[in-house]
Amino acid sequence: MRKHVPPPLAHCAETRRRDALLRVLFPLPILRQTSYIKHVLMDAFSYLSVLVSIILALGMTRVLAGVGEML
Amino acid sequence: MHAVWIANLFPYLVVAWWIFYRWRNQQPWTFFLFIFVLFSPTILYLASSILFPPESAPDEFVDYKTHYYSNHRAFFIVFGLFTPVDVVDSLLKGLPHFLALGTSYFISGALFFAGLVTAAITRNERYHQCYAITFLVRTTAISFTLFRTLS
Repeated sequence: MRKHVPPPLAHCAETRRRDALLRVLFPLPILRQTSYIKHVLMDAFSYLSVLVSIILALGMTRVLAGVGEML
Repeated sequence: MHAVWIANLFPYLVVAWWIFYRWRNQQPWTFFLFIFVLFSPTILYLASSILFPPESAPDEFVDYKTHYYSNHRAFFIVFGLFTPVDVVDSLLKGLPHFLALGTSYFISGALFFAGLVTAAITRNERYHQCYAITFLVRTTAISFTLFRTLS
């Protein structure tokens, strides 16, 4: 079993300084978390599928708008 | 008949989105491949914009039958391009994938292409009626048998 190694003191001090700075800059508490996804890189497929979905959605919009005009 | 082609085109747009998921494991993505995968959505978009007349005034009467027959050639040529693009698309996913599609894929694709080319050439009303219904049955059957689960 690996022994728990405490973070170096310099690191702790840096974290405290950062937290203190954030408290000064943003004194009000965050009431609602805006994002649950942190530091997740978007993969190539997801990135490229955006444009594909936009073009297909334009086609769907055209068809549905045409149906709406027909009615 | 115009309404039947609307019913034909809409599932195609949905299915194109559904089967795009099959590209999820593709690595690496080249710019050529990206441009290529945009072809089929673009074809379907163009077909859908040909199928309907430009947005008219609310009180203006639109004869959809006249519009259909005056634009059937452009519509079916554009829609017919979907087959060769789909064949290349399947080939780009790898030869094993292409061969795994089976003979039904090739027969269905050939019939689909021949039917659309004929529809582009002829103005025969009976042919267009029969083909539109056949196409609807085929699209519905394929959508619910081949693309049942997202895989």
